[in-house]
Amino acid sequence: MLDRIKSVEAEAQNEISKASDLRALDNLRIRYLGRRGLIAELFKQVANLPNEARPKTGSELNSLKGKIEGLLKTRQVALSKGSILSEEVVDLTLPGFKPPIGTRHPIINTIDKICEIFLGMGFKIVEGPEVETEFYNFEALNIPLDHPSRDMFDTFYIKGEYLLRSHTSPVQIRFMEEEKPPFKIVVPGKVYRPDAVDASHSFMFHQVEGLVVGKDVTFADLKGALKVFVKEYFGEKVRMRFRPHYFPFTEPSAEVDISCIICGGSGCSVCGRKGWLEILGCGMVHLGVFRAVKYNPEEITGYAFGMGVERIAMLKYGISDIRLFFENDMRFLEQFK
Amino acid sequence: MKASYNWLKDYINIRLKPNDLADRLTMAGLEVKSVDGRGGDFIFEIEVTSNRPDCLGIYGIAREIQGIFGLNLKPIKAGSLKNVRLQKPPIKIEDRKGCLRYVGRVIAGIEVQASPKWLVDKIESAGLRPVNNIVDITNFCLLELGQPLHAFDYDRLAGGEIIVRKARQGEEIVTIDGIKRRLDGSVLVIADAEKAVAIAGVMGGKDAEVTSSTKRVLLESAYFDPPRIRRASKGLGISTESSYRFERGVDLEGLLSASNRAASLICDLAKAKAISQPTDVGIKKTKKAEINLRISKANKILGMDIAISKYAAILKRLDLKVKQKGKDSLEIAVPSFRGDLKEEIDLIEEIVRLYGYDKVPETLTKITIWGKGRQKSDDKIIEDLIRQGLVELGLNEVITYGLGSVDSYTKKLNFNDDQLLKVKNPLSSEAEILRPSLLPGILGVVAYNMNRKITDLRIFELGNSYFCKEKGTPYERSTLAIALCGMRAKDWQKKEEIDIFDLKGIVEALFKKLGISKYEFVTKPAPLLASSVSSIIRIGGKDIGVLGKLDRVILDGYDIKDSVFISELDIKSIMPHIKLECTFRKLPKFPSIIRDISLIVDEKVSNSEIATLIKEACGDLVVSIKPFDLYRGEQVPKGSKSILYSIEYRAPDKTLTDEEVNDFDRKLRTVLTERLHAKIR
Repeated sequence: MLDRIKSVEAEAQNEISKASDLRALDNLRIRYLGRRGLIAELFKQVANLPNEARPKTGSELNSLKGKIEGLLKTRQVALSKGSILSEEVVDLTLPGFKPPIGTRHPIINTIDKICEIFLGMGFKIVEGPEVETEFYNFEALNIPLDHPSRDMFDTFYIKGEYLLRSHTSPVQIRFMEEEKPPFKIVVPGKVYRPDAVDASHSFMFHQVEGLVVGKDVTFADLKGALKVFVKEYFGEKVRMRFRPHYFPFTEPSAEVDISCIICGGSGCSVCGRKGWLEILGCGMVHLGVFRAVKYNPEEITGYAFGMGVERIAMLKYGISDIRLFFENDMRFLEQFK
Repeated sequence: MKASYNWLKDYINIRLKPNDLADRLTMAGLEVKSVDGRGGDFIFEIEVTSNRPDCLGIYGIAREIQGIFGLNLKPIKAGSLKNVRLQKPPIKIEDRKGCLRYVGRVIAGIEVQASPKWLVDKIESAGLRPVNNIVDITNFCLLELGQPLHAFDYDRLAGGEIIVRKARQGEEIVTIDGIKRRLDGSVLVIADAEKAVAIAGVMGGKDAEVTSSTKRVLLESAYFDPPRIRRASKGLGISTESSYRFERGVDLEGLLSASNRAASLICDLAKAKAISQPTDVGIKKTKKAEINLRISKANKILGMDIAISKYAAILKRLDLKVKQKGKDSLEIAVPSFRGDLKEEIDLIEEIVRLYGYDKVPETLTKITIWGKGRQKSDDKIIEDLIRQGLVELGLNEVITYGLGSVDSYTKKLNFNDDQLLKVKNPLSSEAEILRPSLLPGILGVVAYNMNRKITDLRIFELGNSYFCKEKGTPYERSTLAIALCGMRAKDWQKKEEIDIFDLKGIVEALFKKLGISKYEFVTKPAPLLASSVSSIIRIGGKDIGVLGKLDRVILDGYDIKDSVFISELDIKSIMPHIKLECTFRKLPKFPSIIRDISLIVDEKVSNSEIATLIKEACGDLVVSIKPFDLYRGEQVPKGSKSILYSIEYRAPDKTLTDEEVNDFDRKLRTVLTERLHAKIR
């Protein structure tokens, strides 16, 4: 009998230490300490023993019961610490409960990313109205009435002198009328042009404009600032080139190309086999613009640049249809964070 | 402009292959869009910018090539004219502002026939259609020199004379395309003694057109005022090779040589028997630009250090007259064909584009310290905060078009037609008015997604809506629209339908983010909203927005079956109430005591009435009144509801005792029973 008690003790020790969760532990409790458990069985057998053996066996059994209770308790504490969930079976391959995650629109996202680079170079963000006048949209920007340069800026007219701005450049004028140089600003915003909507055209789109005016601002500085932008936004490997162009409000003017981000410059369908992608227009602020805001062009110089946000985003993400931005399919929007 | 590689070689010895030449032209500012090989020739499609009308002729492009490479341009030799014995035609310019110079001459005894092959090839290389030798010769000169010419059948000109004048109001002319056109008084015409025979600079008239039976022509070479031609061309909706060039400005001093060039070709190819001296009226010379170019100034603007000799060499290659004046300065005389070169900066541009933009260094401004003050305006900070706040609350941002159709506002949303701000030159009926509300756009997004089985939507748009002031001045206003519909996903096991309190919670959370505390949701029917779930949002006594459930009729217009909850807020009006600064209040020193109270009140009694009464009864010691259960059903009489409130009391200067709070509790029970007939459990 005493041997039997020892073997039960060893068995209990072994089994309890191996119990992997509270449920298993509970089963062991029933097996050993339950009303019909092993200990209870052994106590029953004590009655059959000779009288002189009963007290010793009884006390041994009591001490075994105490030991097992202790072992169960210790194990229970250990298991509970390890995992409060271990009472149930948990399948952690099931999805978590996600709080809803919103996304900013990819265009807003792109505007912010562009602006951030210029903010890092000491620019500040300035905005202006979308409903504009002839003066700010055209005349002050050296685009006279009945001049062929107006062909570059088809415009929605509202009434009288009012129109929907066809570029963000009017903000240059509004800012310079109020402020004195030196300054560096970027101007994000919505613009409108009467273009029929298709995969690459939209009558509404967004631009980011830049303007830097001060003493000794040079064409080389413009190239330097845009180089920083191109490398930061499109990556270190991307090359940039300035190509002469004409804009009424800058002189000298340039269109800026980057080496094709798809083919790296060897020529593909995205870059029309040219190896280059046009991304923005820029130049030194035209004297006519300075005169319109009563700055003295002998004392200061400046540069300006402007880019289409949709185009930049389309190139960056490889989006081939501009309409996706304004259809707002959630499956599209939720790809951007 | 299409330019033939072979034709260019008539004027300049090009050693480069066509594609390499195209690259060099592009990098000098004459962008070659494409190069097409065609029967031993290569056709360059060149984008000539509007400041360079001199490059709207092959010879001008050849001069540009000279500018790039320094090759020698060959002069064009007009053949000598024989049998110059006809009388000069009478020509009168009545509108001297519209026509600065007119050169006209008569050529007689011509034979109108098909052009020789070399001429047909040239005409076709530029994408024009050969007509007959006379017309082809005028087109040849247009393409070669950029000077449009026109030949009239001289025998069809009444009185044998030319008058350049304004059209008579309502004067009619049938142009060579066979269309009868009515002219207004601003259009410049070429007329004979009786009638208009051409719309000056735009298109000739059918009456005096050169035909196979024409024997005598009057050859016109003229300079018309560019804005006048542009207005006429736009007004009549006709754009021609001629109008395109006149709009941009032709070479006033080149009229006579263009006339001579064409006349000699006509004599040669149409076997003319006699010719007149030209009648040349108007201004013969332009005011020559004499520009002083300061090398130090130029280098300073460019951020480069180019030697004066280099400057001089480049400018000479453009056929400009260059004289050095001192160490730092060049005196430049600009020929008449470069009307775009008016001041110093224009020359600086010429220098740098021919020197090579690629040679300009990339420097960073020495002015990084200019970043004075804040990077963003308050308005921008607030808009960023709104976006950030709503995105954090799990909403997706959308952007919809700022222009919409009249129907979407009048028929679907019950706007009055006369409230709408219309575009004068709309592109289509889809984009004819400036939106006065963001709701049609956002509902369009809901419908679009629902059609694609995406039905749980939490979206917002922040953008301008547009209105008209009383005087009719249009203006814009920053507006926020939010829409919710579908299920509120707590987790993947439990889904519940979104309701109006989800939306209200979002708006309230946004207000908290913006530091707005004094707002009210006034239950009140608002346009577009279901009358039972509709409220006006009020801040500082002003209505700044609406919140509610969209009316079924409106949703039906968009084929939306589910309930949609929307809010539209006038951000411009909210701006003054926004507090960006945070204020610090000391944390309370003494504990609070919470008492719950359960009321049964009539359905019509609102939470805000109850809260106001409690506040009145107990004063400032009540720090919060929170409803935490709302029940309608069997336990409660019909027409009533049971609400549980948790009321928190705290004094700033001591710990409240149970007795004190019990007093308040009794007081408010009395007030609620007396004033609202509430049953308190």
